[in-house]
Amino acid sequence: MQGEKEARISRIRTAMAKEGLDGLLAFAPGWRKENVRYLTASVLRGSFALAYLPAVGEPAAFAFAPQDLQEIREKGWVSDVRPLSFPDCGELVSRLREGGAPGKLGIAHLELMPRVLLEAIRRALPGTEIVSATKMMDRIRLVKSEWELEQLRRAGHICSQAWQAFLDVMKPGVREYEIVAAVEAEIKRLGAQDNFMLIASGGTEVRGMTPPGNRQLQPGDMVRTELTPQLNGYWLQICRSAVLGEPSEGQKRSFDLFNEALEAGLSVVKAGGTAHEIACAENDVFRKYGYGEYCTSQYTRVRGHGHGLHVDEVPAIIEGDHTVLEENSVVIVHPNTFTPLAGYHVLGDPIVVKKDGWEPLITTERILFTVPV
Amino acid sequence: MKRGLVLFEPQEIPADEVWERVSRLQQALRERGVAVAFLYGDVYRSADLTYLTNICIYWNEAVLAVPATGKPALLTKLSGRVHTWMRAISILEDLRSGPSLEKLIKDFVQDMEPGTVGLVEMDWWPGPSVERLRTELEGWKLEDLGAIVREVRKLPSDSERRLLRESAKISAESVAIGLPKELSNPTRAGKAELKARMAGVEDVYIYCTPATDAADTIEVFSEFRGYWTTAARVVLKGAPDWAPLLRKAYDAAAGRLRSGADRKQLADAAGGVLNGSGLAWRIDLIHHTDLESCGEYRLPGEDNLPAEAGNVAALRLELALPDGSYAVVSDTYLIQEAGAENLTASLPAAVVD
Repeated sequence: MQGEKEARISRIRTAMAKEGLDGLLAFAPGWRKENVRYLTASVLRGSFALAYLPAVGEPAAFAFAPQDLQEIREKGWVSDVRPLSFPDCGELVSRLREGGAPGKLGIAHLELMPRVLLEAIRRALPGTEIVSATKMMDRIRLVKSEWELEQLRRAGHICSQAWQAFLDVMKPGVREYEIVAAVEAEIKRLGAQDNFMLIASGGTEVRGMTPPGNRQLQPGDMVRTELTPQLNGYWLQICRSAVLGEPSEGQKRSFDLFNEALEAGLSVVKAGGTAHEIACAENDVFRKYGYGEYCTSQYTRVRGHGHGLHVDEVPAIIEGDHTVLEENSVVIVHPNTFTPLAGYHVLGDPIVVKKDGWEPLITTERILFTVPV
Repeated sequence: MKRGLVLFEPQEIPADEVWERVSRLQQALRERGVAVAFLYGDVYRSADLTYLTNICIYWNEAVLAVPATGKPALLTKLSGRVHTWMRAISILEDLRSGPSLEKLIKDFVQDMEPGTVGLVEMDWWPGPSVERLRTELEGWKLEDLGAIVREVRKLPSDSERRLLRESAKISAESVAIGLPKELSNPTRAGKAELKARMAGVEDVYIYCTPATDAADTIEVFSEFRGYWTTAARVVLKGAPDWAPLLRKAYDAAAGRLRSGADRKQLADAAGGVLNGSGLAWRIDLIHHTDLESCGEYRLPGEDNLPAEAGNVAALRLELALPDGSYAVVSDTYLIQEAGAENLTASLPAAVVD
């Protein structure tokens, strides 16, 4: 892990030098902890945490929750660990000023930093140029180390088991939230710390997925889900749809369409390729069969996205996003969208981008799952 | 993250009551000369928005616009594809999506006569958003409305108290199912998760962690229909010296709960047992309105206000142990004039053998 820490710091400092940054301050609000995790290797539970990496010198970390302070100390990547307090943020500003205030400070997730915290920093560093370092950190985290890939592979096992738990609980009369409950319980039992999950059940009237409701499953329903366990900070997603009972012709044709689109997307994945190319390959299949309009933003958000310490990392797999995928980027390719064939349909596999192709991260087969009634 | 049951059940909270909350805020705005209030929320913290509309911000960020007169609107970064669902689970009809909340806000006021815009809890808004609004809302004055909604929420109505009781029941039952000492922490977490989610929670945080080798803590925060409660117990696997002290200190603090009690009084009570033990500890009284973030969005002073009869709040005692682990005990209480009703009282004593 020491090698992992040094490699990350080296990559960040190289990027900082390119951007002319004297310091990087990573901010972690409750729902976006990825950059502080990246710098501290810590699983954080509190509402606020920060990590500071100067261009030269030792990093420091700050947290509000005592358990987070302890966790960061125990992980050992940062030894200068200080409490965060509002509104003065005394320990934070004191550290930022040590050895002279940075001339240019990059803040990752500046866009989300509460006014009370940002103003304390601005007051303490009146001569410092403050810029966003969010995109810089997004690019850095794009390529995973072998250690990170191993965490994601472990999360992949949980994806597969969670999907099985999903199937095991499907039956007529069960409510959507009860399915989610069973999956969440399994995910936690397997040691994951969190999950992101949406679901939708029904027929062609289903236009998208949301948190669960109390709708009861009926024979003939297609039940769609994306479930995304988080293990040791790393999120990995699987998208699958299952039919309760015998699938209709529309559901079968929908699966064939989505599977062909997914295969097409995967076929162009290689290091040096772009998100745009993957999206085009997926969408061209829809266009081929006359369903091109369902690839637009009226019906779908993205055709996949990145994975890592955030559930929805860059790049967005979407036409127009020309982000180059380097070797060991991790993305999910998922042509999820609505068509009149079966309503909203989801199918997606997370993969590691490799020099000449890709490596799968889950073992769940890609079929239209059916659960007998 | 929010992935539990989201429901708008008029038998639990009548739509009229939710609209009444909006009307009360609008009345306050008119009295202050504020043309429109904006409330910021994200997937992590959005209880004020839920209170006023029953909306669930299940991902990303959103702003609720409440004009001094007229209907509220949700300005959201979530796609328009979820608007149908949002209308089904809230009182909202006006939903506007876009990549920039500041632009959505600017568009919202564009046909209004410039006056005063109020930002609820401006300190917790993203700083760059506030800066951009100051520039883009030409002719408008920005005013910090403080915790104008959260303060009202601290005295729940009868309907809200019923939901808080249900939420507390769920928190207690979820802790209870994880109490057997032979369970591993991941197994405890799985059982508690299933229990809470089958009961219909919208969100739940479960922490099952070692408290030295001799004990585990199981702590649950549950959100049921927008109402947060908590409970925590220490499960003994041995006989650590600190366990009787923790139990006694917690009971001493709980005995002080009543209208007028503040954190200092509770700390004095717990300190009577724990001071001199050599152990670091922290006690807190967290209103249900602040439990979604474990009280971490309170500014100094807010965390030491005296409780009032009718408040629902969690008493939480946390002991820092020599090996770096923590033992936590908590319950959720309805504060009364001369005492407090423990809403999670179905649980056994604070420290469980």
